Amino acid sequence: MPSSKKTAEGIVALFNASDDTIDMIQALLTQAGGAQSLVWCHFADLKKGIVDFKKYLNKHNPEVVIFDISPPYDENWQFFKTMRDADVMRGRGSVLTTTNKNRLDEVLGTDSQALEVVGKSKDLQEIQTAIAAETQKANAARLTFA
Amino acid sequence: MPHPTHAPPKPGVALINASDDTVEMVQRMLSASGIDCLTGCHFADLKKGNVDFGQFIAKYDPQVVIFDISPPYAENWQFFKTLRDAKTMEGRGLVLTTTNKDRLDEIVGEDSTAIEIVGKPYDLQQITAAITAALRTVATAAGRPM
Repeated sequence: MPSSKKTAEGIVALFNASDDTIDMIQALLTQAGGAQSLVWCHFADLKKGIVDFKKYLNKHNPEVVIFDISPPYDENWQFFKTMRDADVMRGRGSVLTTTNKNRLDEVLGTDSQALEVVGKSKDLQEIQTAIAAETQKANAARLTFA
Repeated sequence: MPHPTHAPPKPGVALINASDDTVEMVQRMLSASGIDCLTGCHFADLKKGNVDFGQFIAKYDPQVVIFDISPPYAENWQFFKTLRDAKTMEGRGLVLTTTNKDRLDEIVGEDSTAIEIVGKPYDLQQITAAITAALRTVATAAGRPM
């Protein structure tokens, strides 16, 4: 049964390895009007257990979570799937990014549906669009189950 | 009076990367090859001025520096070139890595000669071979055995 717990409006959580990419996503949200703010942590800190995924989401309660899959792709993909499928993700949107979609898909043997981050206007626009779409979905789910 | 004996310095490298996962993969691989990873720092910390490149290199004195270029490629490539051409790099070898060589080359408009990191044994072996070759070149130029 979907969770009826309300997500915090305007919060996006980002799990990434790169401080540069974190800065780019932060700038994207600011350019989009600043209605959403970013909380972030390094993907490796989740894997090592330095940050507890469930506690982190419960604390910040984001509408949308952006996961980035970096090398080693197979290991990080498996870890991503455990987070994506966790109960604490119910009612939240998610966006998947990577710096090399071809290699990621090749290693996984499947279409990851990830957006490729290069750092140009075109790919950043795609990420912004995906965040907006996932926010709408999360809001619709919240209204449905409120 | 006997001359003091000086053992040749153990080969050492410094890693400048954005991803903690990659730093750990490369450190493990270097350690297995008998190469010391003297230190590492985040590329973004150099860009932001949190770490001074000249002081960092002077402190650890690595024979080879491994730079990773992550998005935004255009901006990071320009910054990498200032580091590569700095006086403090004289007499040191360098190895360049990235997670997406095609995109990097496309954006910078030249062959970056970077090695693509996927996190599989094949590309990790390529990186080890490149580091070993760079260490050998530096040792030969300095007239000392490796």
